[in-house]
Formats: sequence, structure tokens, C-alpha cells
Amino acid sequence: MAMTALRREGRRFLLSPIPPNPSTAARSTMLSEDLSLLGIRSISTQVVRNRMKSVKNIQKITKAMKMVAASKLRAVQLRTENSRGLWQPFTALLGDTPSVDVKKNVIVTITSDKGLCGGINSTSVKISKSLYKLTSGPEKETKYVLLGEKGKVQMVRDSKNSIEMTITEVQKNPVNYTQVSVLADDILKNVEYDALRIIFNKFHSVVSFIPTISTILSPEVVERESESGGKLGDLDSYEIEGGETKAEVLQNLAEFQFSCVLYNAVLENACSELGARMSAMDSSSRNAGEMLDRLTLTYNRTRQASITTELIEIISGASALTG
Amino acid sequence: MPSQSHHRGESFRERWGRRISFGGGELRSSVVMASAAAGSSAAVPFWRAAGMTYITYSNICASLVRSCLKEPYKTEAATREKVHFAISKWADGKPEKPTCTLREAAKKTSSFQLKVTD
Repeated sequence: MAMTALRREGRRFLLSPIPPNPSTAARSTMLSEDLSLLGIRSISTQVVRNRMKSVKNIQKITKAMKMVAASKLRAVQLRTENSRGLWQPFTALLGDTPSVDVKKNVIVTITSDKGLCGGINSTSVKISKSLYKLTSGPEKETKYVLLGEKGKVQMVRDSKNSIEMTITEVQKNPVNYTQVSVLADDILKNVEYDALRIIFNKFHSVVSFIPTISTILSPEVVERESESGGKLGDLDSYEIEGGETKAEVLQNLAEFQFSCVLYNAVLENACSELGARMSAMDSSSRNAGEMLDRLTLTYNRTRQASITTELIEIISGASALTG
Repeated sequence: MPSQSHHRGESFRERWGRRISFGGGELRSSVVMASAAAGSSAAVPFWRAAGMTYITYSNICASLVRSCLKEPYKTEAATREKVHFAISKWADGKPEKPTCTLREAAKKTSSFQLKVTD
């Protein structure tokens, strides 16, 4: 109360604006001076205060997003680990040969619909593009099937003409096998392929997601490869029930394998997305906290400088009176 | 020779001497079975002859099993049947209007119509 009275007294004696001290101006670049009608400049902390408020809000939001992602991750991680048992027998039987050389390749890239999840979508897209270059050549044809909004947006920029289909809104309801198998069925019906390559981020732990390629061959290519020996060459030594001819069995197996591998890939990618979002939001809240610390220091400096200026004005005014 | 909507299994089919053409691709299929010229006379399972893939077949079986469940488990299992995604095909670098499928797998498979002419 006394301070405000003194302040008013001090102001009455100032008729000319006090030039700002260049050292204070250099020290705190957040100084804002507003010229009042009397031509008096006062240092305002309003700008800094606004920034601090918004940074604090952002910190709260990112912390909340991290918590949400962490809780969702726990549930999806369990399902992902259980779904790994679906494709492991297939790989044991049919092998996974990414180096197979075929004419028609279809690259199925799995990305997320929502953003703020770090760099996983960009890495998937980068790998798809390099795989495209790797598998293209004379008489060869490569097409994309894109799951997820983020992948579509990035691919549309330069590879529009090689996109066969895009699929979005996969994660609207919790992912179940039926949904993915219907999706797989749609893909199989609409694209011609000799080899399908699924690109997704495999979930190893909360901080590590490894981009992975799974290759699924069409039945004819499996026949061809089994004739040339190797893992697939042992296929004839198995007695398989459920089909009369080998080709028919291979057809069923190939379709089912695609469905299972796609299911696992979608779940793994969802896990990786949540994990990446957790770490992105965590580093974001940490940065916001550091920013807040720096802003608080600036705010205090500005506040103290303005108080000092007031005091100087008052004292010099008082001494001008007495002296 | 391959028809407009070339199903990817056609070349495999031709090898076994049967001509199967698909119109419309999605739910309705008309199956024309030419008599086997050469190749195997092995009977294809009925669902393959009708144009279903193994995936569709196993989904139908799964939904049949789910509908056999008793009450508290039945509603739990129904949540595992929900299908929703928006798919859009691209032609010449342009997307077509996405078809939104919000349906249960059972509904899709039960509306599967097929005509088999011999």
C-alpha cells in the first residue's frame, strides 16, 4: 500500500521519459516498454507471464498424453505378445525369405492414424521407399498398400502413382483378428502379387522399436522356391491334412499366413506407436519444464529490475526535493 | 483372357483346368466351372469353388462358433467381431471415395450370395 502511494508520488515528479539503461535491455530481452500518456515507460512482465502460463499448460497436456499412452500400452502389449504365436509356426514351416526375386511386389506399409508419436512413421515410409527402389527393375512391378493416415500423407507427395490402396481408421475400435482378416481378404482380392512385403515397427521394449519387413510369397512362388531346395524344399516331406493337392494346401496356407502376419504386424505397430508417443511426450514435458525454469528466471529478473527502477525514481525525486 | 477384375488366384486356377471368373469382386460371385480338361480331378472344397478365400471361410466358421456360446460369454465374444475400417482404391494417382465398412463379420458373410452353374 505504501509502495503504491510512493509510486504515485514518484511519478508526479517525472516529466521526461527516462532512457532505458542499455545494460538492462541487453540482459533481458523480454523487456517490454509501454509508453503511457505521460510519456513514462514502465517495464511490463505481462509478456513473460503469458508465456509461462501457456508453457505450463502445454506441460500439463503432454504429461497427460504420456499417462494415457502408458495405460493403453499395457493392454496392447499383452495382446501383441500373445499374437506372436500365430506367425511363428508359419515361419518355421515356410521360412521368411526377403531376398526372393519376383516380378510383382506389393509393399504393405503400416503406419498410424494419429500423430505426435515420434519418428516411427517416417522410418517406415523411408524403408518402404528404399524397398521400392530395391525391388523395381525391368519387367518388375511394385505397388504400395498403405495402412494409416500418416503413411498416406507422406507417400502421396512423391509416389502417388504407385499406390494401389489406402486404408484408414483401423484403430477406431480395439483391433481384433476378425477386422484384420477382413482387411487381409480385401487386399488379397484386389491386388496381384507374387510377394507381399509387410513393413511395420516391431516392438522390442518401450524405448526400442525396430522396423521390420515380413515377406509372404504367393503359392506359385512357394512352389518354385521349393523346387529349388532350401527350407521350402522340405515341404514335401510333411504330411498335410486338409487339402487334397499340394497347390490347394499352399493356397490356403498363403492366405492364412498373410492374415496372421498382418494381425501381428498391426498389433506390433500399435504398441510401437504408443511407446513412441510415450517417449515423445515425456521429452516434450521435460523440455517444457526447462523452458519454464528459464522463463521464471527471466521473469524474476524483470520484476526485480522494475522494482529497482521504481525505487530509483522515487529516491531521486525525493532527493531532488530536499537537496 | 483374364477378366476385368482379375483375381490373383486365376493363374493358379487355370493350371488346374478350371475357369472361375469373378464379377464385382466383393460379395456376389458367379462361378462358372468348365469341365476339367487336363490336370487334376481333385475336388476343390465347396467353399473354394464358391469363390471364398480361406480367410472368409474361417471367419464364417468362427462366427458360427461364437453364436453357439451362452449368454455372458456371447456378448464378450461379440466385441471380438466388430469390423471397421475405411478402404479406398487408387487409380492413376487419385483416390476413389472410401467405402466405410462398419459391420460385423457375420453380417458380411451371411449376405454372401453365390450362384453356381455347372
